[in-house]
Order: sequence, then structure tokens, then C-alpha cells
Amino acid sequence: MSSYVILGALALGLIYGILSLGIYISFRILNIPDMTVDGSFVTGAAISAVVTTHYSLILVIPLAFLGGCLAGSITAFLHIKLKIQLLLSGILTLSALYSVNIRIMEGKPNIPVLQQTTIFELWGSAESQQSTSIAVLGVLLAVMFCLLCFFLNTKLGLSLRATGNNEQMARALGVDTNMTKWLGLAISNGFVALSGAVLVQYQSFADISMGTGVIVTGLASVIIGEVILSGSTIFRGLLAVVLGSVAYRYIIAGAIQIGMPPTDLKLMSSLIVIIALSMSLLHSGGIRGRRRRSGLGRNGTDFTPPQ
Amino acid sequence: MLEVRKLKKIFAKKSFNEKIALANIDLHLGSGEFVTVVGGNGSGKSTLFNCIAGVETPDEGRIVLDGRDITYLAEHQRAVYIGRVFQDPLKGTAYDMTIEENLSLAYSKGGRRGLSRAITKADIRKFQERLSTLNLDLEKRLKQKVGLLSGGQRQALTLLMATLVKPKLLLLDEHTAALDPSTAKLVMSLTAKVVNEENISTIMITHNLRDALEFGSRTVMLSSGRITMDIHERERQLVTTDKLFEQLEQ
Repeated sequence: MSSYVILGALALGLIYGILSLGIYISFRILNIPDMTVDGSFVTGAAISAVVTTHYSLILVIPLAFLGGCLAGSITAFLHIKLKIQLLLSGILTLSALYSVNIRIMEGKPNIPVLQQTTIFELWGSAESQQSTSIAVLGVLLAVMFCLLCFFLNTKLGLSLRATGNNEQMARALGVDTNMTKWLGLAISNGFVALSGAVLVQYQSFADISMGTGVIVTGLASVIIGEVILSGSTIFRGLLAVVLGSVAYRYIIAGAIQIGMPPTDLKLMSSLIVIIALSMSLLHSGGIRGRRRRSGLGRNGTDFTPPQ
Repeated sequence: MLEVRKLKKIFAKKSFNEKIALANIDLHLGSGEFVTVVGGNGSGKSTLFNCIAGVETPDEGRIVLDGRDITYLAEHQRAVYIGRVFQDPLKGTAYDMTIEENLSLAYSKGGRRGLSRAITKADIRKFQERLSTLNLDLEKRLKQKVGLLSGGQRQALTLLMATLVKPKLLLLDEHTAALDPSTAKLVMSLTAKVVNEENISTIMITHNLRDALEFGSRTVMLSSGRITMDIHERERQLVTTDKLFEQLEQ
């Protein structure tokens, strides 16, 4: 691997690290799969491209984060107030966001930001471009990491974690679980949108389809991270997610180096998640065990066990 | 302290499966009173608890706690005044959080859940002091996850969490039913201790008739959503578990 590839993978790992932290909030802390992220990632990207082109660069990060929070809030509203199943709420928002994102991008499916200065070009010279980018990304990720780690150890953060852990108990202790769920989904999508916004700055273009499958990317990072570093504290848990994101990018870079077509990436991501999620089942002999419990199997008529 | 007036709850109303869970419940509980509730499955005990705790909304009637009408108050809002311990030891604690984090959640009851640090040094001292009263050596395991504790330890911890901020009312829903006999005895004695020391108004559902007569000062029997028996101190002392069982059979 050339140093260009190595640094490039690291940069992407840091960018998607922010995404993975967002997905960790919904998937692991709130314990709910949130489909909104595939849409809010593009919302962040669209805001980033448009704000860079027309307005001030300083506004990119706060506006993208807020855009994501808003997208998450819509899913939360559908789920909490209108009582629509969470998975469906996410899908509805995701689908609606396609149109919204195109509108933000002024009707165009992609926007290049090659002419404008990006947040990475504010410092350093052209030769040191990549190392500057990594420094900027590292600082940004560190700030988001610390904010999240601090938040999850506050009283409010604890209420959020309790909601995902044991909702009934949280309510019995006086936690407004609707509020904590809404807050969690908003923050989660804020992180995801921020990640999309930074990616646009890094690759100098925004595309309407760049969000497809990012939920799987995020999940893969979360799961790989848990294999690398088992976390008993929030700090270790979040660190694992970031390490997982970087490791995931190196796995992909390695696969491409040995000749895998980039279009197979999504297939590989899904396979990683499927294998990792089924690991616990395989360990406990769950696949066979479950068949027996459901009354099928050795004595059943509709299932013949393999010889 | 607690006044339940003409409480009525009907499930699947106006359908073929209509079930009157609570027919017309009147229950008055004095300050610091400890009432045990017995009754068969489907007699309405749990529905009564769920209505008081705000999990279910009654169809008719009023629930007044310490002068405040809480009939339609949201569950999390009235939780500030009500401590609850469930039958399932897994339900009362957050398994993936540490003992001190669980206690901190309970300690924030009624206060602001804002962006201040969840656990301060003063909190830790307070938690250790309270945990040591359980005599389970949990005060040395503050940073361990609750998922590592046994059912009895978790239930004792839940009891502590339910009373860490003194509630106006404590609801115990068969909280020793899932424990082995010796652990159940331990949790029951911890219950009696905390209720007596803090003088907390308590309602305890139990299927253990001996516990029902031994603890508290009053026993109420529910059957088909009605109160069929309500015996106090002296009257209660004359009742044996056999008599209570006969009554339940009717």
C-alpha cells in the first residue's frame, strides 16, 4: 500500500468515525435501528455543498449538524407522537429526505465544490494537503468524541442510556422516555449529517446517492470496533467505535488493493455485519437450537436435519 | 395519603372479549400504612397497581396521592412520588450500566436531569452508605455492571433505588416471587426494615399468604376486580393462612 492509500484510508476512517459515533447512539445506546441515517447523511452533505458555494464556510458544521438533528426529530415525531413503528418511521423520513435533499441541492443530483475553498484548505500548503486534512479531521473527531463522552456521563446522558437499557425502569424512575428517545435520535442524526458534510469538504463534491447504505457502514464499524476493544465504560465503547471505523476503511482499502471492484463494497459491508451479528448465535448453537424449540427438526415433518 | 375512589377499568370495552379488570375499587391508605394485597390471577391486583403507577389509565374513578389528583398524570411525572419494585428482578435495574449509574438515576428522581455530572464524590459516599445497609458487600462493587449481579442482589438494589429518594408511596408487585426461599426472606426483611425506618406508605402484592399476614398492618383481598376482604390489625391477628386460603378459594 502506498502512503497515499494509507493516509487516504485513515482520513475516511476519521470522517466515517463521526458517522459511526452517531449510529452507535441509536443502535447501541438507544437500542433501536434507525434507518433515517441514509437520508440525513446526504442532508448534511447537501447543506455542506450549498453553504460552501453560497455562504460562509464557518456555517457548514453547525448547519449540517442542525439539519441532521431536524431529520432525526422528524423520525422521532412519527414514532413517538404518531405511534408509527420505529423502523417504518425511519424509512418514511429517509424516503421523504430524498426530495428534500434534492431541493437543498437546488434541483441538481450532484454539486462539485472544486472552485471553492474547503475547510481543509484553510490551513497548510498544497503539498502538505493530505496530512493537513488528517490533522483537521483528527481535531474535529476528537472534539465530537469528547462532547459525546461528556454528555453520556451527565444526568441527562444517563437517562438516555437507561431508556435504551430498560425503558420500563427508566419511566419508573421518572425519566421522560419520549423526550430521551427524541433527543437521542436528534443527536445521532446530527453526528451522521456532520459526517456527510465533512466528506463533501474532503472529496469536493456532493451526490444525492452518497448516503445509500451508510447505516451498514456505520454498523460494520461499530461491530468491528467491539471486536477490537471490548468496552466496559462509555469512553472505551466510543473509542472502540472510532477504531472500528478506521479498521473498516483499511479492510476495504486492502480488498481494493487485491483487486476487488469498488462496486462490491456494499456487498462486503453487509456480509461483515451479517457475520458479526450471527456470531453470537453460532457460538450458542442457536440456529439448530431454535429450530428444535419451535417444534421442528428431528421429530418434525417439515424439516429434515442435515446428515 | 393515597385515596383510590370508585376506580373502574375495563379491557377490550364493548367487544366480545370485554373484561372488567377493576369493578369499583375504593381504597384509602393512611400515612405510613403498610398494606398487603392478595388475590388470584386475574383478580385485578396488577391492574390496580398499573392504574396507580400510571401505566394504565382508568376508565372511571380518581386516584389522589397526598392531596394531589394523579389520575391522568403521565407515568414518568408521578414516578417522582412513587417507588416501584417489580416481580422480575431484571425489570427494576439497567443491566448494562454500573451499580453507581443505576443509583444515580434513582437519586435524580424529582430533580433536574440536566448536563451536570451524573456521579459526584458526595454521591458515591451516599451510595456506599446506603448500600452497606443491605449487607451484600455491594458498596465495594460500585463500578460493576448490574448485569453481573444475582437476582436477589438486583432485587435488593431495586428496592434501595425505589426508596433512595423517599417516595410518598411504595408499590411492591410480588417482588420476592422470582427469588429462592432464602433470598426471598432476605429481600422481605430488607423491605420491612426500610419501610419501617423511613415510615413509607406501602402496598405489597404477594401470593405468599404467610407474608401477607406477617408484614404490614392490613391485608386486602381482591377478587374479580372487587375488594372482598379488608382486615386491620386486631382482626387480622385472628386470621390464619388456612382461613385466608379458604377465603381465596371462594
